Amino acid sequence: MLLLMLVLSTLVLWKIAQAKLHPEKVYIRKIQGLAAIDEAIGRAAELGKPVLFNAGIEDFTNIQSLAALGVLGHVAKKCAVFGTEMILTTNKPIMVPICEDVMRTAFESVGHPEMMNRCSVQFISTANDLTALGTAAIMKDRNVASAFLFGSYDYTSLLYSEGGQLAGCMQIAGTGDYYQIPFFIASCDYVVMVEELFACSSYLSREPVMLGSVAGQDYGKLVLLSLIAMGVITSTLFGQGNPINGFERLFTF
Amino acid sequence: MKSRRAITVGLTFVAGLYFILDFIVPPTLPGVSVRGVVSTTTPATFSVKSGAFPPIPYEMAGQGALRPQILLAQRDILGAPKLTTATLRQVGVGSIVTVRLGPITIRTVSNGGVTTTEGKRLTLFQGQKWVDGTSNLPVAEPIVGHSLSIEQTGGKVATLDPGEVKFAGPELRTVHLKSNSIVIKLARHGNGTEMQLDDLKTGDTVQIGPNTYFADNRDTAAQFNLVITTMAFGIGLLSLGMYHSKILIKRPSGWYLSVFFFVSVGLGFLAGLGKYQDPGTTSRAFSDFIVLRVIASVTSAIFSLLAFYMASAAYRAFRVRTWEAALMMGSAVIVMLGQTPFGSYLTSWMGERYSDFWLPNIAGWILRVPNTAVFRGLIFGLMMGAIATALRYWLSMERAVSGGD
Repeated sequence: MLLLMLVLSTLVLWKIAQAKLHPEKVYIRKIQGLAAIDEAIGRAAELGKPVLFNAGIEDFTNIQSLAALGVLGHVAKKCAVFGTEMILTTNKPIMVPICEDVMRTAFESVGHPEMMNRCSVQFISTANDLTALGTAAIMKDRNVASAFLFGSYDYTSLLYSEGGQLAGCMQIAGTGDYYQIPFFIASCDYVVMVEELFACSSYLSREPVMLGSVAGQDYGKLVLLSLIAMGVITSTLFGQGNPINGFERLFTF
Repeated sequence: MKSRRAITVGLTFVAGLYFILDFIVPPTLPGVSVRGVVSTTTPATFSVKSGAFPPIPYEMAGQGALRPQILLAQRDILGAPKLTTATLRQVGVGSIVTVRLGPITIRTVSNGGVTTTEGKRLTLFQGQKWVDGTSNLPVAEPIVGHSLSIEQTGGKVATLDPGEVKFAGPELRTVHLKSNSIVIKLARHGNGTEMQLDDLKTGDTVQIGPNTYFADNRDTAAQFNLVITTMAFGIGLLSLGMYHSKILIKRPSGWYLSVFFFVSVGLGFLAGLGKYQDPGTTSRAFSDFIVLRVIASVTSAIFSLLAFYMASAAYRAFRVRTWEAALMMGSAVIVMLGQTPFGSYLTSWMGERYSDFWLPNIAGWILRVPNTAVFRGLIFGLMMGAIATALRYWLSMERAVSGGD
């Protein structure tokens, strides 16, 4: 396991180094859900209504929440550029200062530090379902135009997304919790699935180094696929119930 | 701004490095660790001195009631003193410990000593006392038929010998343990587990060596998270309080709902005071009422909302507008029918010969083959994505979060 981790990590680091040297060679296919982020923020700007962001139900120790913070940075930048109000809800008190910091950094980076006064980070409750209902209520009461649900979710995923659907929001969701993906597909306009979530901030930032890490991800998957193929072949030919005479059977007429 | 980013980058790197080393570095120091099959063990011994009395010797042997329990003084969540069980490795010469033997059941009392129901004769050393076997409260005299323990409270460890292990094999090599040695019982699969010397059995394969301390300090490192998270609760409450205060000052429509927030916080505070009291007591009753009657009911009511949301989401998802939606609809119908007796009834007329086409079997195949294949693909993607994201954060390439442009 350690060896596999080292190999996969080395692949990612190697592609990052390559991207630094030859940024023009990095190509990433279009991800519909991420391409729609600008459209969703633009819609909110046109309607003059706020945008809502939720970074999942876990705190910063969860890798999906970290990936969601990367998307939050991008969404905050775009909101600052369009002058769109942004509301962030969370069920983890620890995420309040972290999200505020990410938003403040994003606003400052595009020259709109004053946006922080117009936007709010709201801790609702430590109970997931109460936070989901609270978020759905905010979507309805504040006439939220677009909602972004990124991060880790449990059964409450439907409480968030269906609440947004009933409030008439354009919704983009992204999660690595594959059991929640069908619920998001049923209720949201766009869904960013599993590894796409981890590629989000790289894709959105368009920095060659970050894109290199995504290319490294794909090379890692290629290694895993090769291992699977080797496993299937060896198991078919030499596995239990398919002994070495599998070869003989192949060449016996 | 630059110095702030430099601090963030440095701290992130050091913290990440700690957890990586914790993952990579083995629990015992490589090169000087020894490995072998246990033949016999010599138990650890230690002595504890209380006040002016001579040190009392103890031997960490056997599994019975007379195996000494080492207890360290700590405080519980309410700040009250409590004793927690420790291993010999967690104490050193000079540590203040409480040692307890028992509980034992007294059969006879004679000449200042007692005989246990197992026939063992015990007398108290100077510095030891009898305590109740259940409540651990001091008992003046041992009473026949009672369950009692022997306790030496708050003594200083005077001597400590961690014991030794004799390995099986032609040369019967003996390994003397040191105060920083740990014993890892190796397993055929997975990581080994740390063992106490007297829990080892003949034939166990073990690795003995100096501790690398990474695993020992993992909990301490994780406590940083706990401290920050606990502090954040105050921030969360403050954030909510400020939000609702603003509403009460501006009085928009529905402002009165914010009053409920402050009332709820007050009630929650009162309920929290009773949370750690003994169950069934009057002081716990209000806490139980709030948690079990109010919060539990509200949570159940919210959970039941899911059923309605699921129905409306399913209606939307199953509208056949594209061929992908048709495919999903088709497979969903097969899987749902296949899980019910009605599904079996619908296709049972085909007979045994065409049993592969029975709805339950088709549903099983869909779940077992295409569904599993997709799930595995997702898991591989998830794993690779997690590795790449972790590397980006560790090396502070994720500028949106670490404070760069």
